[in-house]
Amino acid sequence: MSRLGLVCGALMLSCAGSPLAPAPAPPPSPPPPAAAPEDSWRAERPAPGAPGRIDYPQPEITRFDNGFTLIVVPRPAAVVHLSIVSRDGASSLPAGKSGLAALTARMLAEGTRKKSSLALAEATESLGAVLSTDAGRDELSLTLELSTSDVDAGLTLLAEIVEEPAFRQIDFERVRAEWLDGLIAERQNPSRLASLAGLRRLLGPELGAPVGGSVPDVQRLTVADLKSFHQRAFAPSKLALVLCGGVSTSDVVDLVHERFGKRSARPAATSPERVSKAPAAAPGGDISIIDRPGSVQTALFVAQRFPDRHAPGHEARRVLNNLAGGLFTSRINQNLRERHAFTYGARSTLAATRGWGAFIVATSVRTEVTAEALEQLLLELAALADPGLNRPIAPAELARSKADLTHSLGAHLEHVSRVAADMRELFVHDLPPGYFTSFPRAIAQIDAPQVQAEAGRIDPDGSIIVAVGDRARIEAALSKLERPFGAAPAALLE
Amino acid sequence: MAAATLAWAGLAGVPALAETPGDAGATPGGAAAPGGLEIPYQKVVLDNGLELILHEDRSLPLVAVNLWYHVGPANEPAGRSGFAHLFEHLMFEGSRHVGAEFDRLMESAGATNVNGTTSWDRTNYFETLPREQLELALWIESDRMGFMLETLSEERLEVQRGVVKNERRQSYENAPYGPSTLAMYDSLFPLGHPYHGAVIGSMQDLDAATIDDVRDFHRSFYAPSNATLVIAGDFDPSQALRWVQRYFGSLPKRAKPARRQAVTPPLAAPVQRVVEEPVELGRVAFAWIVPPAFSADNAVLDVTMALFAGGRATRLYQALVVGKKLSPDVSASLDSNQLASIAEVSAMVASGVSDAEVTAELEAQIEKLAVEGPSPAELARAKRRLLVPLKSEVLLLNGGGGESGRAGLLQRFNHYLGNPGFLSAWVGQIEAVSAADVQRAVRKHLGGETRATIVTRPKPGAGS
Repeated sequence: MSRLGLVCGALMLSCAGSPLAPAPAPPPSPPPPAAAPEDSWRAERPAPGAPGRIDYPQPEITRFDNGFTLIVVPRPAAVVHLSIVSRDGASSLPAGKSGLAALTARMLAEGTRKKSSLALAEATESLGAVLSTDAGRDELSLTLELSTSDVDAGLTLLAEIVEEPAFRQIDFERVRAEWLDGLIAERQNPSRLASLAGLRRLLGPELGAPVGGSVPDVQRLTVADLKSFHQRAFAPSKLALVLCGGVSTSDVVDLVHERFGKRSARPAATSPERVSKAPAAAPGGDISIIDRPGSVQTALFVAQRFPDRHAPGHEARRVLNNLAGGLFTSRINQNLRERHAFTYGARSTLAATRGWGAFIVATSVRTEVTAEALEQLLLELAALADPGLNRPIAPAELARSKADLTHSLGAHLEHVSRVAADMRELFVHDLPPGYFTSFPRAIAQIDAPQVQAEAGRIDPDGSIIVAVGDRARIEAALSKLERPFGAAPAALLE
Repeated sequence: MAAATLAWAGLAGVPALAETPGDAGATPGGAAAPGGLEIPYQKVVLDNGLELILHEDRSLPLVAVNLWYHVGPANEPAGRSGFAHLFEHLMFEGSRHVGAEFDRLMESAGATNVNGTTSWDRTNYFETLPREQLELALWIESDRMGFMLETLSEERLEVQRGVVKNERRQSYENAPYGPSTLAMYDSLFPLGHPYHGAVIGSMQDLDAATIDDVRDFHRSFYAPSNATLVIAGDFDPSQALRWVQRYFGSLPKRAKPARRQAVTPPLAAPVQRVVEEPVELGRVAFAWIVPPAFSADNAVLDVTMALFAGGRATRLYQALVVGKKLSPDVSASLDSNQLASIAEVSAMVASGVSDAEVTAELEAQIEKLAVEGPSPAELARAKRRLLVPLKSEVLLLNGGGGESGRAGLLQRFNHYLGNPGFLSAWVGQIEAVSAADVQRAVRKHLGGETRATIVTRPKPGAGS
């Protein structure tokens, strides 16, 4: 799953910062004072001009005989974004091997049979690029962004990285130690800790294990594990090369065929179908407190199971998520931030993988108002779920939620890296090639009853809750919510 | 593929403006650098002093609006740390003719990347919209420039004070290494210097801010003459100019406030602070006060930081992460500002390692670079790692924080240098950095005698 994070520099404070946008004022404002006559013309809101049309380009897709896929989206740019993506991610791992997909991707940066770790870094960085590796539930990827004139060099390098990894024991031991420290560092952040523990509580220890792995699992991983996972995940039929920028298919197809398309379609061990093993019934209703003495805020994580990525209605659920807690003007953010000033921001997320889905609300609130804030959050969820509570979906919030999805996709065309991410999604989830081209039409057709029907899935009573904060100062107030306290077993934290 | 020229560099560029407003003629700029990195623009100044910079690119039907006020925490009165940023939040609370509808209007119009940010010398507000909504954005931005005070209420001030205090808790007090970061800012600039303390301010000062402070600040600093508007993307320049004249040009002319001046020497003596935090892994950070943005050595220090970290084939990464395994993560950054910049290198402390070992190795690596200098290949790599991402950054109209992307770069260069077209010269400065420059700059600016050292140690009993 993607991590939303602060992107601003150390000295720059962003009013919107992380997942948060700037500040409006929701409650009805007093009528503006009578405008001075010379300014009265300003009261008229300008009408929009002639709309432009954003036509999301159709990708150029080539499939080689060995099953390898090439996706090219030419864009006017002096750079090319190259990525290679596999359809095997954390969800394809057997029990006890959490972290294997992400660590394998990471180890690909540690050299090839021809190049040491340092030599590979020098070769990559002399092109002005840094190799980045990433893994999710359904995929893992490697990316490079470099000058258009260096695209051939980049392709050759990427092929060597993927085809001929070294997986040296000495490098592995160093990277694993570094990785374990990274897991510790991640857990130092209260909202990350709430999310890691919450997903385990929601999905169970196996499916809910972090993509980066649990500490005991990662400690037990070996080079042999990595090699065998690499064999499986980097079989040609599971891979796509995505190129986006100042190139077209004809510029690169011969080289890509030479480097990637001629490999034998080796009989890849089929991935275990973990995706079908998602637990049928989610636990729910309880609150797990993870004690962090001295905390001035409590990190809250409220989650329930939701349909997976491929269940019908995914786009309507994205609209729902936007109006629930995705937008700045969403119900949850308006309540917790703009009405009550409990928080710097409160956001919901629709997590949708091949095997499972979840609807998640996360926020960090002042310690003193932890229970009050949680209560308001749950009230907003209840009002969404039940239109009988007099908060049916309003036309304006529906329109904003849809406009955001359509226009955000349009804005992806500004940057090659965003188009490349769309193309990886297309490949990983096997979406039709025209999915993004027709996306605005699909969104336009979504109406309030559809969104309301999806909202009916929201189940505040059945949601699991994790609170990372100062137990001594929040437990008594939280007990008034009349929910059972779940244990926060050490296993949630590993 | 030979083209290193950016796609829009070959476009016709901005046509001559039909009318020449104000007392200054339109100044075309953005001459091509040898590498082809340029952002064509025209700059005009309205009668009331507002600067307008137009960059036309019709390749997507999007337009970026990016408005900088040349005011930041450097202008805060004593006892009001954090005020410039609190004020930024209030700018989203409404204005006389638009009402308290900012975010609803922006979201309904399909705006993306809508935000405001505050750094030492400037506060910015920006959004990217479908091209047909440009006039709407100009209407909203001009209304909050001219008429923001009239909808301001005690209630909205209280809510945003609460939001900002939560931002301080979330980003610093309750965040790993956040307290250490606050300690670093407290250690660098002396009391009375415009950059003293952190941009977020102290809780005490945030509590002290009054509605009269808001009024005074707006009257003093939110004047057309203290602002620069960039419009970038798909628009007709003469139409845009008419709109800007209508919405902004009609705001009364007000005095342009003077920018803060301060002589800012490096630290007179080394400072060492140890901060205990509820973390399991320690961290060591070195920070120095170094020369201002775009002054001599600014480009040299940028390259120096890229030699230290940011890739794997870098000095601190190879020494601390790979070689001696003292750290799981290192970083090096240069934060460039009007009066002074801050150079910072830091390393997390690996499990089972002492922070003293990390401190010693950081010192040794800095000394080593000063003594031996970078190799030619190493220097070339560092420069490319700065310049290739620049080609990527300029694909965006508005980038992150409103100070990157084409609109953000035009603003940055204009704010610090008065020359929006400095990009090609900046590229030239990076390319010209020599190994001897690096050695000299490390010796001159990154010595132990002017260093603030912030060590984060796990609080006993915290963590698992």
